[in-house]
Amino acid sequence: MKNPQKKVETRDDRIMVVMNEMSHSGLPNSFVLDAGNLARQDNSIFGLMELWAAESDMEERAEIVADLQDHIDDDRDLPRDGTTTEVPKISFSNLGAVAGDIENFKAKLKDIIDRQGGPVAVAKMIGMPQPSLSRLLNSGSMPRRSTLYKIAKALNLSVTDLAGEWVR
Amino acid sequence: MEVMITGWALQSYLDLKHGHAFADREYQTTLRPDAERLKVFPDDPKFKVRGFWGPATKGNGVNVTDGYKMKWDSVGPGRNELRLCVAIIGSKALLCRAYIKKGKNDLRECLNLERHITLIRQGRHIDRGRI
Repeated sequence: MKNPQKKVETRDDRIMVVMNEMSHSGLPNSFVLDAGNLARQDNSIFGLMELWAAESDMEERAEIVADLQDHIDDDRDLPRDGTTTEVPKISFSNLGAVAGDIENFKAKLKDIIDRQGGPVAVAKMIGMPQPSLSRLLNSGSMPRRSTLYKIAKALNLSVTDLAGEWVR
Repeated sequence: MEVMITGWALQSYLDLKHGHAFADREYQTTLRPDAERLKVFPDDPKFKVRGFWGPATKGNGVNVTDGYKMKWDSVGPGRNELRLCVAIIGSKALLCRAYIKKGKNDLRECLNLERHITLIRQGRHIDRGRI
């Protein structure tokens, strides 16, 4: 016989539960709110949040957080009018040089961040999950312009101090 | 079929290159020519090889709608299992994220692909060119 007192957990309830867990784990509130809002609109994001909640490996959890932040940033940065964003094309023969430029730029950025207390301290200052900042610094991908602005603002630097040619 | 490089694919290429996931020669002789097979999708016989091409699955046998994976084993000095996520929508193949399969990241990457396909359907993606 069914227990009439037992309340069925809805998807929204579940999102709230995971958001609470994320807050308790020390993730920035702005990140948790943005992830929750996106999960309400999109099943894949909800799936990633569930994956985070079920994951015991801290390294994989950090990767999920960095992926979620990427999706949050995409949702904010990509235009909503249905027009595909066209950007200047990079020819295949130039890709090696571009990768080198990005590495040099990131080495400079890492140096600035280390002088300001390192990635953990700076991530806190800009309200970004630390795994996202670590991915930005340690990966070979182009940094987001919006993230560089956030860093510049938090560290009281001029935007030109963090200007890079290859941003997205 | 038109083969589009999305912003996510370019970011992956840069990141994997940075991490020495593949050698330049492997990229030129195997990875890129295999991706170019998408121009004649599904006619190239390699698309019938299950170890090379298959649907992206979210676990429990549920496929990501319009999501596929191109697979290579033993790539680069680390003998990596490399995966390239592809969205086939209408007459276009859109290259999305590529990654090295390790641990439990396959499911996470399929969820990432599913989100990217949602954005592609809304026209919300970056066009980085064609191959």
